[in-house]
Amino acid sequence: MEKEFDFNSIGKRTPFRTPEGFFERMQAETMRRVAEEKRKKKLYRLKWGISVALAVAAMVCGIIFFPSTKPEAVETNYQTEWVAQLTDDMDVMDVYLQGLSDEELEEWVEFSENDIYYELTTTENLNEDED
Amino acid sequence: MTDPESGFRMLVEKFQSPMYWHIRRMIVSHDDAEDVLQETFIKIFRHLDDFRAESSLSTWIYRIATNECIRFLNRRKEQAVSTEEVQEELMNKLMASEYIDYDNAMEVKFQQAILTLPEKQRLVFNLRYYDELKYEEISRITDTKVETLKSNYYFAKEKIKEYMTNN
Repeated sequence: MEKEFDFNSIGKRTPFRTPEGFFERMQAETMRRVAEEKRKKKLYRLKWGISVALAVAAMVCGIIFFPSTKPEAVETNYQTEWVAQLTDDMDVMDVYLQGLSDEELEEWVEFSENDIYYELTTTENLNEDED
Repeated sequence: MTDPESGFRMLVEKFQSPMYWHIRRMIVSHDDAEDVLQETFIKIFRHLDDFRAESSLSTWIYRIATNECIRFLNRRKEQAVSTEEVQEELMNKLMASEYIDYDNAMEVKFQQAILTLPEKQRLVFNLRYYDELKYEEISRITDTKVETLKSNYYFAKEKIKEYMTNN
């Protein structure tokens, strides 16, 4: 009768090997990719914030200038130019953001994420407390 | 001031070795395992905020690594004609790859035996035999009932025994 295979004869040994210094290199590469990932995330948040701000500004302008007293043809031209200018501004902003360092981006994100209404109400509350 | 990345660096330090070996045993090739490991850590980083302490951090990380392995194997299946072809491909990689020590024929044969198992059995066998995880943990990683895992492990061991005895 054939002898049954004994798992203890091999234990946890495997024939798999790694190149020398693999784990050190792997960790460095992972951290590099994580830093890249963080930067992309910040840029995305910042662009999103700026887009929202520009959209709100556009809406406010729309409300202020509507209904317009200017002739229709002139109005259309004006609006087209304004949209073109807005698109140009976004492109310039893209170039500007790409050139920022991580620290500068961090400051921008923090600044753009500050809730001005929260700041105002907190200041008001503080003033009330003082009274 | 604490470095916000230092926590993640510690996590990578602690888990990169066990995750690499877990992935390597599933994927076989070193180069592929390296890519899958990278992807695993990027996923962990992206979803670290979503981690809830319902399971342990280790279980959560194993789950992500396992999903990445399955995703990799499924991509291979899409390119191949059948599951058997993927199995054959893994077997070929085991027999002719860099960073495999062919001097110990018994260890290579043992890996061949493991590669003959269906994917699910292979996963359960590796997690239980090499990583010594409890069935409850494997259950959380693979979304499978403990009873099913126990029978998977039993049949996997029987098949390996048979392969090692008859080949």
